[in-house]
Amino acid sequence: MEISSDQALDALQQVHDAQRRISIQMGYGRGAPHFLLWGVIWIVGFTLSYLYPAEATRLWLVLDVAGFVGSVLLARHYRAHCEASSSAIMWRMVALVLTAVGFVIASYAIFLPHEAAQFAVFPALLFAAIYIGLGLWRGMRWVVAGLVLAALALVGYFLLTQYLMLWMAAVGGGTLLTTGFWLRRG
Amino acid sequence: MGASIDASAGRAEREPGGADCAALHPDGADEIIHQPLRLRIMAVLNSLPTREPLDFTQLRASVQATDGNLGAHLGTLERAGYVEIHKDFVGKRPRTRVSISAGGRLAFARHVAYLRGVIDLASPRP
Repeated sequence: MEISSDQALDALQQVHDAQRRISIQMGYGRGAPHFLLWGVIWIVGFTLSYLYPAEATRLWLVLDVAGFVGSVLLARHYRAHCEASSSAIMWRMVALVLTAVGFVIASYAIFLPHEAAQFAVFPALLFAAIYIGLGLWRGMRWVVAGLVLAALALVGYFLLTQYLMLWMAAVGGGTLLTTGFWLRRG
Repeated sequence: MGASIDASAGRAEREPGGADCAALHPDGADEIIHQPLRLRIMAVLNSLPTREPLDFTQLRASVQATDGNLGAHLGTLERAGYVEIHKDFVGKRPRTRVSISAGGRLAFARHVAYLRGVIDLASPRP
């Protein structure tokens, strides 16, 4: 069987494209349960923050730790079932989340936010930016999720301040859940 | 990908005066794998961890094929021993999953090495 260099180049391009598509698909599959988990956490957290604003700080501390532990367990579950090499990816993701949390704490220390709305929207915008950044390498669905989340958080902050917590619970948490189901479809 | 090929292993089996690339890559082009859709199927399955199966629907999406077309080409690859097809039920729903065999990985690595060899030989040398 004779193959010209052009045919060989075309074949290798097809191999590359197919591998890129499956890599993106697998990334969506890995990300989906995390979006579902954090969607639920947002709905619970922001709803309770609206109902019991005085307890919001303690509440979010508990929910964030629970979410972090849940994310690590999900990543470990994936590692056990799929890739030996995903251990490195998992710890990179953990490091990324810890970096983001550190960034939020440092930013609060510098900018000294004084309204509950600022505390609520800033982390949402940061994670939206992370989704967009990841999406530039890992697929457009991450970018779309980040853009929608950021836009909705800003709409809530500037136009619906009085109901921001409920807005973030319903629309923000809903966006994360919808994204989770969307990613799970592959 | 990236498996090293023992270029000397099958050189004696080739006709004298054959293409240079055949000398470098004694296995030559794999006619079963070279068909475009089968090449994409093998590329996708080869990206997965060892023995990890991929759901038929996920595979269909990643290789951009129809059900019938994908099924036919998977049959060809299965008969060649390059893939393994696993059928079971999840609850009452039938599920088909596909994985690449060890022989399939080797054949794919050889085919890709052959393609690279063809390109290398055609490239102008400094």
